Amino acid sequence: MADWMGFKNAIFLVAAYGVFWLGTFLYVITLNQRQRNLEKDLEALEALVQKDQ
Amino acid sequence: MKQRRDSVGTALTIGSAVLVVAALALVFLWAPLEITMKEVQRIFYFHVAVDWVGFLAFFVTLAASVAYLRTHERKWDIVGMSSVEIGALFLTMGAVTGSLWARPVWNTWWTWDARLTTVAITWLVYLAYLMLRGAIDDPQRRARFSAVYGIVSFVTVPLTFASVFFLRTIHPALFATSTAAQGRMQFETGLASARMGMTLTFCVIAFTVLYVALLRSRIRLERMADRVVRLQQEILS
Repeated sequence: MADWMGFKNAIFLVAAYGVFWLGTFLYVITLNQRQRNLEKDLEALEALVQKDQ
Repeated sequence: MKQRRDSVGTALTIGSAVLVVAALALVFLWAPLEITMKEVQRIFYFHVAVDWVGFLAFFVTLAASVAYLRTHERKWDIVGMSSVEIGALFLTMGAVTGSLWARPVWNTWWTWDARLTTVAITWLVYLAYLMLRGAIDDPQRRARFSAVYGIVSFVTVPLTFASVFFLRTIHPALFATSTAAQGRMQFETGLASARMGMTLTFCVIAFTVLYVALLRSRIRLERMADRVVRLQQEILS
């Protein structure tokens, strides 16, 4: 019984730390994706500006 | 166009990753076992640290909002908004990790306890901040409204912190002076208690560095977005 309780509680422990890692990684990946998209936009716009000049 | 290498940003990112992994190692390999809750009490270290970052982020927004209203400089609007985004993420993680801790310890995922209720109010108030920004098109009006809202909404932070002292609650109080309210955590020796305190302190420092690294990246991203808008306007004019 005590083993089963310990195992059940370990699931909560793993889940809690999983939430932190998952949340942080997803946010970092989102930031990277947004940065990549903005860099592409900047490159395209700067090329347009240079062409106009 | 290639972006300039951000060496400070890279150092912060690597530093925060190393510190958070070290904090994880301390939590699982060095922190003592609590007598009643056993292993599941280890949730406490990251739960407190993510909530700390959430509230620190909202304090930074308060300071940036005051600075914006005084100077009307765009940089303070960027800092305030970026900090709320990170704070909302960390407060969400704090609520989820808290819930995962409450289930085996309190036998419930959620209860309308004073601390949990005030945290829920804080979370909703700051989500509304992000929604408010999305609803206003004019950049200057958006920045002004956000700054005022960023100041007013901070009222929820001390309210949440103080709720465990002034209201009836089952949530542990980290800084309580009476033993009855001191988190109800018990360790076998005083040395074990000290190790718990040191591990928690290390986690808080590691997460603060992580917050600074994320905030820096988010601010950089917003500045880049501003440049895109400026170039678009230049081309259209």
